[in-house]
Amino acid sequence: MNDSVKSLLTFVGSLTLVSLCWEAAVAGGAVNSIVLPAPTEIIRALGYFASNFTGRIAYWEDTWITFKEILGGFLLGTTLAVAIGTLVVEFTPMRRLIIPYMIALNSTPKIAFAPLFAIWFGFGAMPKVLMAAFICSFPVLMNTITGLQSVESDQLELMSVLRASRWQTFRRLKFKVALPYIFASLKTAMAFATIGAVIGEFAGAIDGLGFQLEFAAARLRTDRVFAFLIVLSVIAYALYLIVEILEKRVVFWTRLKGSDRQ
Amino acid sequence: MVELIASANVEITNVTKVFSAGTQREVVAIDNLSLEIRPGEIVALLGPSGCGKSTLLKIVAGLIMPTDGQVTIGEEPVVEPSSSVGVMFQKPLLFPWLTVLDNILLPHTVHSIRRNVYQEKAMGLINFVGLSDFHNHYPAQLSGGMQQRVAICRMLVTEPNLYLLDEPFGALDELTREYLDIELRRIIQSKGQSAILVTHNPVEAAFIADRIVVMSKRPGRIVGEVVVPILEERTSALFATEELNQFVREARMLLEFEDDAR
Repeated sequence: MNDSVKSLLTFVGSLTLVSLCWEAAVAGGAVNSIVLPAPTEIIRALGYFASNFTGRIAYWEDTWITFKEILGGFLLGTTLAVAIGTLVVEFTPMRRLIIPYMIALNSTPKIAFAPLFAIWFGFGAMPKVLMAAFICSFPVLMNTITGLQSVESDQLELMSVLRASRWQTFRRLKFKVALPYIFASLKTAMAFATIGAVIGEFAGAIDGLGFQLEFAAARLRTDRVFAFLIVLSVIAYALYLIVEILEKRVVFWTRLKGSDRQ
Repeated sequence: MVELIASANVEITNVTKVFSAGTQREVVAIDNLSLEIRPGEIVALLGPSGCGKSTLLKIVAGLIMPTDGQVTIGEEPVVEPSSSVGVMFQKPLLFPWLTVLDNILLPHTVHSIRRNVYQEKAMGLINFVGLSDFHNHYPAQLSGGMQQRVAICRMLVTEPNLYLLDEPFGALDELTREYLDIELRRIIQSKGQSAILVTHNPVEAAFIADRIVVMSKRPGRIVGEVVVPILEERTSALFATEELNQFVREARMLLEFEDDAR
C-alpha cells in the first residue's frame, strides 16, 4: 500500500469516526443542533444548496460572484505584489519609499479595512476584489523580495562575464531564482484571497456566498452556514490545486532530485 | 571541430588591489604585481587561500577594477568583461531550469541571438566532452564532474582567446579532478589559446600549466616561478612520473619557503 492510499484511508477513517460521534452527540441531545447541526443536517443543507443552484434562488450566481472576487483579487494582489517586490529589490529609491509603508500596512489588522473599502467603493464586486487583493498580496510581496535577493553573487558574476544587461540578468536569472519562492507564497495567497473576498462580503454585499453565509447565520440556519462554508472551501481548494499544478509545470526543476543523477 | 583563433597576450602591470581602502577594515589583497602571459601559454597561479589569486583573475576578467596598475589583453586595457575572455568558476553555476544544451547556449541567448545559429556548434562541444547523450538533461540529473564539463562547453562556445579558470575542479573528488585536469589540458591545447588557472593544488598546477607562478600569502605577490617544459601529450600516466613530481616539489618548496620567511 503506497503512502497516498494510506493518507486517504487515514483521512476517511478519522472523518467517519468524528462524524459518527458528532451525529450521536447531537441525536442524544448533548449538543443543540442550532449551535452545531449534525453531519446529516449539513448534508441535507448541501442538498438544498445543490437543488437551488439554478432556478429561483440561483445559488450559482452567488457562487460565480464569489469565485470572480476570489480569482480577481488573487490575480490583482499577486501581480501587484510581484511588481512592487521587484521595484523594492531592483531600485534603491523605491525601496526607501515603499518599505516604511509596507511595514506599517503589514502591522495593521488587514480585515479592519473591509468597512472602509465598502464606504469607498460601494456594495459591488470592487471592494471585495480589493479586499482579497490586499490580504493576499503580503506573503507574495515578502517571498518575491526574499526570492530576488537569494541570487548568489557568483551567479551574478557569471552574468557579468557574459555581459548580460540588467534586464537580461533579471529576466534570465533573478526572476527564475525567485519563482519557486513566489509559487510557494501563491498557495498561501489563494487561501488568503478567499478570506478577503468573504470578509469583503460580510462588510457589505447583496450577493455572494459570504453574503448568503451571513444571511443564514442571522436566521440561525447553522446547517446552511456549514453548507456555504463547505462550498467556499471546495472553491478555495480547487483554486489551490490549480496553483499547485501550475507550480509543478512552471518550477519543474525544484522537483529534479539527486536520485535522478547519472 | 577544433578551430584556432589568435590567442591573447596578457600583460598585468604593477597591479595593486586594496579592499575597503581608507577605512579601518582596509585589506591589501594584491601588492604591486606584474606578470605576462604569452600567446598560447597556460599559466597556473598557485598560492594559499586568501593570497589574492582569485582577485587577480577577477581583475583580468574585468569583473573588478584594480586600485592601481593596469591589465591589457592584446594591447586593449581591461575595463569591463570582454567577449574574448571565457571564465570558469569553482562552481559550475549552471541554471537548473535550463537543459545542458540551453546552459551551453546561455552566452548567446543573453544577447538574444537565436539558439539555432549556434546549436550545431554547441552540440559539437557536447560531443567533444563526451556528453552527447545528455544534451537534454537538466543539471540536477548530472554528476558534479559532468556539470563542470558543461561549464567548460559554456566557456568555449563563445570562442574566447583567453581562458580564466578559477579553481574549476576544487569542489570535486580527487579522481574526478584528475580526469578533468587531463580533459582541460587537452581542450586548451587543442584550441591553442592562452589560459590562467588559479589553484591551490601544486599537482594540478604542474599537470595543466606550462608555467607555475607561485604567490605569497596576503598581500599577494609573486615569490617565484616554475617552468614545466613537458611538451608531449599529458596523460594520466604523467601523474605518477618523477618528471612531474620534480616540478611539484619545486612549486611546494617555493610555497614553503614563503611560509618560513614569515
